[in-house]
Amino acid sequence: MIRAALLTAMLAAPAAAQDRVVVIGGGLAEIVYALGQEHRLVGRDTTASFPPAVNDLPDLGYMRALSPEGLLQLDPDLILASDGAGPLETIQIMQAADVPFVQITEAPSMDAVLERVEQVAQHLHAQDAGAQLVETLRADFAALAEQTAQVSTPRRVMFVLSAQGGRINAAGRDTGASAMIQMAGAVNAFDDFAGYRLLTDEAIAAAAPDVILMMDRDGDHALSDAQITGHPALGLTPAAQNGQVIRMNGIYLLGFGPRTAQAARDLHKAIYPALTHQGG
Amino acid sequence: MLDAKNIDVALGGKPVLHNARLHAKAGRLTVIVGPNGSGKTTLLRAVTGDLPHSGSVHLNGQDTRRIPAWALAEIRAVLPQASQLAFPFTVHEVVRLGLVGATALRPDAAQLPTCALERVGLAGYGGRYFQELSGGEQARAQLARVLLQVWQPVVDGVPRWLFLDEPVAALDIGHQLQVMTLAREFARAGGGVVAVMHDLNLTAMFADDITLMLDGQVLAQGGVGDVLTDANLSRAYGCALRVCALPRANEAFILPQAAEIA
Amino acid sequence: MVALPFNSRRPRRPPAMAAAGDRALRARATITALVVFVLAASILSLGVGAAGVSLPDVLWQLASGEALGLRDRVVLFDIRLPRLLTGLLVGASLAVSGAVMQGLFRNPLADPGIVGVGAGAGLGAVLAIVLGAMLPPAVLAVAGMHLVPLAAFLGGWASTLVLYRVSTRRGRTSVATMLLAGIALGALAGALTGILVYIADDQQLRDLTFWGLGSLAGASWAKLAAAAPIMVLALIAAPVLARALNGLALGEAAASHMGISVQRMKNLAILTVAGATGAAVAVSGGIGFIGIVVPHLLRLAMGPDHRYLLPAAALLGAGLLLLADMIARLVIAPAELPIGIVTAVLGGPVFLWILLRRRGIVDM
Repeated sequence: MIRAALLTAMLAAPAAAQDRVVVIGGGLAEIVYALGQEHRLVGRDTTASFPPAVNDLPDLGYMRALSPEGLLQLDPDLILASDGAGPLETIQIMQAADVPFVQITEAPSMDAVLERVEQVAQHLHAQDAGAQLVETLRADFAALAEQTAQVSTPRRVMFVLSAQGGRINAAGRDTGASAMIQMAGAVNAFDDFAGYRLLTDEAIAAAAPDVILMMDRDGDHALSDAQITGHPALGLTPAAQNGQVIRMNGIYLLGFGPRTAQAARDLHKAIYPALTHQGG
Repeated sequence: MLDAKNIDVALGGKPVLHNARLHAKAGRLTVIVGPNGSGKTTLLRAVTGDLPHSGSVHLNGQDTRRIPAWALAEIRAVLPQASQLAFPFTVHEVVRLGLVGATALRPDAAQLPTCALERVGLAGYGGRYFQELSGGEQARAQLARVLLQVWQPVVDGVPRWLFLDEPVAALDIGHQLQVMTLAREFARAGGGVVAVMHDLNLTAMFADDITLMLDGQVLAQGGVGDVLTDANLSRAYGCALRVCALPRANEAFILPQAAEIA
Repeated sequence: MVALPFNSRRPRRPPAMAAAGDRALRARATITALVVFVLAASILSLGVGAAGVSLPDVLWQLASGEALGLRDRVVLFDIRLPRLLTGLLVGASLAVSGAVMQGLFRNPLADPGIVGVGAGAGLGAVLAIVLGAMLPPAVLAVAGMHLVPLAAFLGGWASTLVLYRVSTRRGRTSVATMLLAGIALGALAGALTGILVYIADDQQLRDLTFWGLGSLAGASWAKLAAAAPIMVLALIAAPVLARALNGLALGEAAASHMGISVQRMKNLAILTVAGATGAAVAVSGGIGFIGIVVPHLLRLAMGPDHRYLLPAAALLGAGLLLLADMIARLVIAPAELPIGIVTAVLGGPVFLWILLRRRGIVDM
């Protein structure tokens, strides 16, 4: 009864600020925090892990298998979701319940990052904070572009997603990892396929990457330096032989949130340590 | 009247029955005997429709191949040689499976399974699990089911039939006599009985007509005295057999014919 | 008229008492208890959920003439009610299919997947998930979000058809051949699935995994409208098979002698199971154990007479799936556990317990 009254009151207020927001998608969650609007959040999905405070929010599970009743339990008045969220039945039920379900692109590019910030800010009625953040990010990207312009011969970088059982799962084009590598002024060593692939040893040897990039993890998805040099294919690469292995936090590297430019710059520094020694 | 003619059966490409025939009259107990591999069970299975065969089978004047399964079940019941059971039914439930067609519609249908069990000497066994019974008890329980299916030997002047494949093979001599007596009573009441038997003494005791088989063909057919002769039996079974002859040495012999049936 | 010996006996017991070994009374009592169980589970299922809409509140509101709030209405009529009906039908379909398959194969370990439905449905789903984007846009527009369930359903039917043709010669279906052919088909489907898994991207892989684990979360009125008629038809057809399945327990020859049209019943059984299981798997993905455990428990409780076993299986399967769904919905709210995990976690130990006690399984 009280809920019904509250709902009516909220619907009656003209364009009132929603203060029960659910965010689906790690990058979007970061943006909400960057805009200073985190006090309005009431729920998130499993991919949201930064900043650490977000883990205190109720977890709605895997973003493509959202439970409609779970969502309604949180009594949201706005759901900000990445493009791939679902299933479709849940979205339809949100629409039937008059809960706005906004889907925002998750494309991995600089322009997309800015667009995301703008869209989130718009839906949260925090346009001022949004404009500020966009300006900051634009400046960051510009600075990044200057740095990467100094690269004369781009190095070849291989992103390893996992190495379970000795089989290497690497990123081709049209992946977030590939986009980050390019943003950092380097080149993806594997350009001839899209998505993630299990590679043969010969393919790895033929590609001869200068740098190996991975997410820093524990368990049997991770690779220690010793395991890299000991691997039959990886060990022969210039990257392994020169000890050029970079590990970065997963959500930091691939979240495509407000820290994107920062992450790209860190990656650039790690790939070209000599260059940044000069540039500062 | 059962009239089967020109029965040819081939199993796995090999001819097993050649130009076999079988005649049985209602009100009489007809027995098929013969050595192992002579085709006794094959003949019975062909006549009851289990095996594809050439030739014709007429039961009560009708071609059995034209009669649908449910109608056939009304006029004849078949007791197989071996029984299998996939699930833990009780004895009562197994016997009750015989409640088929018109029998199931009788007002006393619910009591009939118990009656049937009493007739085969398994009174009180209804509550036990079928699998827990001995081989002989299981055979008799199956007989109870089969009797239930054709509970009345004659319905509206039309005789019903029992086809029994080695009904007493697993039984001790006392129960053998009990079961054969049952079969004879069914025949005396007007029904037809066709049984495949191993035991020549029991056959001699109870059969009205005998068909003797050898190598997939009918060797002799007729009454007890006509078929059970020294010549026929010796030829069929491949050893010198003599009818009504006492053993040469002073050995003990126990004949079912000498038993007093209760 | 000569008194026929076969008619003249009267049992010494009064007719009103059931004969020893006749478990009909126990069966009927069990079914009555199950009906109560299903009703209770249904009411509970409607009243319990993450969104906290409670049935007494709703009834009170309706009784006092107020309209329900939008959110309450959506939770009850768009989420819980279709989910309840789907759960009932899917649970009943899986359990009855299991019982029918066990009766047909004369083996208490047979499960509905044996006719190939599971392998084919899974393959259909994988094809739709991984290659769906390659279909012409017109087809995609029409199928929409029903592409995966549709593909699963068609896949289940296709594989059942293949199995049936392989094992039926001259009008007689050999269940032994069907069993073996099912293994071969399962291996083939597994290989094809492996290839598709290899070319799938990350998102598709996740979708595949979730589909395989089963869920009632996608239950909707649209899906019900498509799948329910098939499941209901199958559930109605099942009792026709009861007498035949009883007879088949004695072997096909004996069943035929008792007047059962064995081949026709086999056809009906396969048709029923393919339809019911196909539709169930299509709307809810892979849910295991219901088809094996439910018939087993019931045989232990009330005997294997299919005239009671089939309806009881429908009821117990429906009720158990509802309970499992409630657990799936509540245990990690606001997220949801795939229901296949719940049935496995509960069904696995129960099945082991049954095997350990070795009752109900005929020594073969």
